Amino acid sequence: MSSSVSSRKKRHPVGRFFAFLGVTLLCLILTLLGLIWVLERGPSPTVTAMFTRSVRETSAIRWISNIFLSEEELESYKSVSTENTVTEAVNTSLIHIAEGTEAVPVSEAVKLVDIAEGTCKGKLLIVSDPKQVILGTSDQFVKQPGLQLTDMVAKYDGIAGINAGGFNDENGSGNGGIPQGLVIVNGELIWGDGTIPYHMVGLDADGILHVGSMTGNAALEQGIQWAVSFITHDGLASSLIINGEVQRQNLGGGVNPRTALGQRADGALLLLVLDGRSINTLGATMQDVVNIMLEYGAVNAGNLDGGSSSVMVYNGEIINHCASVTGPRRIPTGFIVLKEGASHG
Amino acid sequence: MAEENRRRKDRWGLFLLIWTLVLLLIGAGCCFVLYQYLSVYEDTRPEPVVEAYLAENNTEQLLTAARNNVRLEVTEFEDASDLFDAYLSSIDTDRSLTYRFSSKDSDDQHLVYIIYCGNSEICSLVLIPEDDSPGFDRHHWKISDVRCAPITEMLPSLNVVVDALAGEELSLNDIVLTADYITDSDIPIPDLNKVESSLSPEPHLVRYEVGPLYGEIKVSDERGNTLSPVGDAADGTLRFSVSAETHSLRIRTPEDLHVFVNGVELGPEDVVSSTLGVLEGLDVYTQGASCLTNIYELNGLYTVPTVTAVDAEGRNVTPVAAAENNFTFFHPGDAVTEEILRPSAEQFFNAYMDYSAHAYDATRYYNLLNRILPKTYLYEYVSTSDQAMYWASGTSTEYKDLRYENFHKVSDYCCTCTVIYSADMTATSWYEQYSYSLENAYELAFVSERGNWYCAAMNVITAS
Repeated sequence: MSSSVSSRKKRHPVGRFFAFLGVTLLCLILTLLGLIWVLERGPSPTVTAMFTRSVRETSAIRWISNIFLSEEELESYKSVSTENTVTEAVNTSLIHIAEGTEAVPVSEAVKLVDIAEGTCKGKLLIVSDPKQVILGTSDQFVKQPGLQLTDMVAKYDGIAGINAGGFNDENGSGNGGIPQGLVIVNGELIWGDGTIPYHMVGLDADGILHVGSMTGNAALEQGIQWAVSFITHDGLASSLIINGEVQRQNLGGGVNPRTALGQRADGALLLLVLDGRSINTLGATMQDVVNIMLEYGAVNAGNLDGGSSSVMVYNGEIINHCASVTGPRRIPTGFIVLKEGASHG
Repeated sequence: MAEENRRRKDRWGLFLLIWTLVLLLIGAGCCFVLYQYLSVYEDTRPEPVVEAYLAENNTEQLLTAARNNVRLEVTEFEDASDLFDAYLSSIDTDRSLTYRFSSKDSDDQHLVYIIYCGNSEICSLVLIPEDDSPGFDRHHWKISDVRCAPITEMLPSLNVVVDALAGEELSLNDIVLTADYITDSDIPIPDLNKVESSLSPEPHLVRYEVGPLYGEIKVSDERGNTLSPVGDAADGTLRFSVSAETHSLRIRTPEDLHVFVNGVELGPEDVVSSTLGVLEGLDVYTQGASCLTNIYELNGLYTVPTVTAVDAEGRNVTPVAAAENNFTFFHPGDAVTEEILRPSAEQFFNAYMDYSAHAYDATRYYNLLNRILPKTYLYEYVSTSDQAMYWASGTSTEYKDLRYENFHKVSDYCCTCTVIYSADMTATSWYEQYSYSLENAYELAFVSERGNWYCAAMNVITAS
């Protein structure tokens, strides 16, 4: 009798603990669902659009957008697809790359700027000589996983770098081994189909940044040396600014970490990484990226892979707040800033 | 015991129920607060205010508002409104209007939205909060200002540097450049001559610097000439160099006078030539007196020359003729010599005028010849030349303002003087009918023979 009473006394606390935990978790889940309901069906269409676009841009949690909204209802919040939009070609005459005595001193050739624009926080690397920037890749696509950006920058003996093109990332579990779209390295199309149009971000032999829709073959004909392509899950193309004109049709994204590459009229490249998904900052919209690019004088700019891939390496270290909870992700491509004096030209 | 267990179970169940209700209440509260906040957020978004403004105003109305509020920092040589108009004329105003938020220009009380026409920034809208607050410390917004685009940040600019002689009046875009724009007030002139090198202060260049300028640049000198820039403006600076006006100077003076140019005395090294002038060939009569006439010539003077002269006694000497920086000095007249020579000088020149103003007449001819020293060039010329006859036969001359001056004793047998007059000439030949006036001056040399003074030579000094 005494042992029976004793075992009952011992079981009760465990059962109560799980009951307490279960009820608490249930209430938490209900609260979260309630909050999501408010965000998705609440009084602010602006927030609903921002929320659904933000989660739909992520590989891992894009299903959240479907909890209270049907696909038909989501259509109105989706970013405008530009899959078939033919963009204006970059006018290379707008870019005047300083050479010889015009060039900036070596000490100012690469300048790092802290970005804190409104709710956006991140890093901007200004590289005066665009020929100092190349596209780095992992060792072997498909057969091997991608490289973390620190390793990729080290592979090219660079001083800095940002992530570049997209990659296969089903449910957020991709290993960065398979690029999406096209990859052009040193004037060769090493990934993608030469006849299919891609939303490309690339550099030609003169260091001029090209953004816009073109096939791999057309890119090679234009003398593109280094290029990737990127398109969001909702089909937003990569071009943000072409010849000084904002590509409004591509600004529909949500709030997320962002990576972008721009170029000023004097040829300087703007390598931008904006943080997100943290207490400090939720992230940036495409419009935010454009605003920052314009503020720093970009004439052309293209959006690159964002979210948990957004990362900037400088002097061997990651200098932004990487949004990936498992650490810096493996990626197939990255724009690498070579050491001063070294250039692909 | 069982009762106690039942009670304990009831208390636990009650706690769990209350805990659940509390959590649900908190959750519902969070959702409610979020709902309320989003309601207010949506209601107080500034973007709809901007969009409504753009919908209500077409591009032209927007540009008009911006034109009326041009606040650009430009120099006095440019008009901000003109610059803005020129900028607008260069953009395609048919393009659609778009906007973006400018966090750089915004703060808690001012939201700035930049408006674009196509890819060209045309103006910005400034929003300020309204007094009411629907909650959560948020406000409705209203437009308080339409500012023209800061085109001075977008347009290429140039600085202007102008080097000019100090004192030269220059204009930039037809507005006089004042001393406020002088950045270097003492730039030496490399090719300055001795006279001007001795001046204090010596002529020098000054440098004007103006900038930044965004529109057309026109630099003109004080004569109204538009200057061309020197070189290109690759470094962002457009340079002008004003070719300073220079002056030349010729001075003819007896060697024993002291001549000053802008206060600096000319020395023997400045003499370019010396001549006996009107005393040429009269050595017998001058008896070795110092009677050379020096010629000074100065070129490339940056200052307007002021020429003065004094004689050995320090008396100021007035130039007999001074036209176009051509100065001729003589010895100042002395009364004793004038008393001796004036009658003879007047008689000679009267005879000369009488002869030259009429057709040939033997009486007038010999009357003149009798007052000229035989065997001189003058005598030879008058006695053999027929030009005077022909000329006089077709011309009538009226002499006016006759003055005899500068009587100077060279030696006991030689004196000089000058004759200055105006003459109205009228040509009367059948093929020439015209009139003109002359301002003439002659230098005359007289010598004494057998107690009479004869004109031995005459030189024209100036004629205009």
